[in-house]
Amino acid sequence: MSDLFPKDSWYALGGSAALDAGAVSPACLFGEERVVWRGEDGASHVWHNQCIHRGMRLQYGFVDQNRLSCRYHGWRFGGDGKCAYIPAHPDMIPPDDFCVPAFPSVESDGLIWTTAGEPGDSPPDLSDFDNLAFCRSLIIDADPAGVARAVSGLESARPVSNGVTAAALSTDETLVLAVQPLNDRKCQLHILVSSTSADTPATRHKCSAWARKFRWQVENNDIPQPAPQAAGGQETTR
Amino acid sequence: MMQLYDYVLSGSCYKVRLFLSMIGKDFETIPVDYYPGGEHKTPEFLEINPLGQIPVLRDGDLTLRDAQAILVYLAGRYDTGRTWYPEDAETQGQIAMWLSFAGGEIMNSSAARLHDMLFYDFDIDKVRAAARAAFRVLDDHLTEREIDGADWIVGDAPTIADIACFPYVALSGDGGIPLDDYNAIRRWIARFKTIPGFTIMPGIHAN
Ligand SMILES: N[C@@H](CCC(=O)N[C@@H](CS)C(=O)NCC(=O)O)C(=O)O
Ligand code: FES
Repeated sequence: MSDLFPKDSWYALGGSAALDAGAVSPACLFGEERVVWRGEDGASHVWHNQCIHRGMRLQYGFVDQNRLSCRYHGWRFGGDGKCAYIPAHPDMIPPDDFCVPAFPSVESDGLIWTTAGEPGDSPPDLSDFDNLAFCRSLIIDADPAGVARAVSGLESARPVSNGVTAAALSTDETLVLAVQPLNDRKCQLHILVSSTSADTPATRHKCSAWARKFRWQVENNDIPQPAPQAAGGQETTR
Repeated sequence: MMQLYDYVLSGSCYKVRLFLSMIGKDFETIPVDYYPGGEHKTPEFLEINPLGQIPVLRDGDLTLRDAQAILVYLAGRYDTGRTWYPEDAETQGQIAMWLSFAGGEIMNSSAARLHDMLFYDFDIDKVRAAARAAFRVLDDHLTEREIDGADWIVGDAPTIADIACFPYVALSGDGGIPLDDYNAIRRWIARFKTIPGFTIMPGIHAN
């Protein structure tokens, strides 16, 4: 998995629009659990999914203005991950090292991106794709490498960055597919489409239906073999 | 007054409690000692419901079993605005489809919960897999509803289809089935909890 999906790279976790202000959601990358949440101020955060107090999963917490509150004993953590308030000790100012490990959360091209390592400055630039719109995400119960192989076999597939591939949905619609490796049995595919009608329900439904079929093919090992590449007229024999 | 044969930990009874609360209708509960008493399998209770299941609703001379049937009745009888079970045939057909799903495929989540919480003898791997398959169907449906800007399982407002599906989806963690893989379901659960009259039960918190 590491060749195709290096740790020092950016990976999409979901659509920006799928995370409302005040929403808290679990996420996963290379088997590491994350919590993703958005404050009322609109800022998104990607943290280690574990409370530093007694280890409760923070995904079960709730947003209190611009803080995440743990469900168990109500410790409140500010956007920087630092504990700001402990209900059982209301007068105490929590020490600086009472802090949930935070990861980058960068939103661009309709996606929330993060990393499990030390990637370059910013997530892949998708601005070359005109009229790009987020369609949906979907979980595929298959190993990320297998999914990457299936993606690379799609019509006119070409790599954009680690885990991100463009492929043709039709002559005037290009899919941009971002694979999020969850663990070695599961990944999530984030689907964007570039076309003049990208941000319409009809196109998004078409992409969703495509995605459901693709998921079925991958999970059932029924992946259409890539068409042989026409390599500049050269005949390749095997 | 209307009477509900009820058990606090039952997600099926919760469907009825939720709906009565949301339409603001008073009722009386008759607690059934489901566990450990097994009162629902006694000859006395089998007179009330020969299937030996709860919930059962009594309203005047009418006795109804099956949460889905009870929701249809209550919505038709007491929801004056007719928003929870609208009158047109197309909507009713769609609602019936999801009511059947709630009483069928989703009940695999109930079986997983009975196995984990009350030690019922089910093939746990099988029922969990079946529950996950059902959740994926619902999650895809809700994802595609969101594409149309719609928040609910059928139509533009919550219906008894949402009520019937909610409990055993929201309680799935009790049966060892986390909802992490079902993004649209989690968003729907969060919306569901904002419906006026929403009530909780053990295992389901308010926000
Ligand atoms: N089809 C019924 C099923 C309800 C149901 O499964 N009730 C459980 C309690 S949550 C029960 O009484 N189980 C006993 C049994 O089926 O023997 C409904 O939807 O109301
Ligand atoms: S475990 Fe989070 S506040 Fe105690």
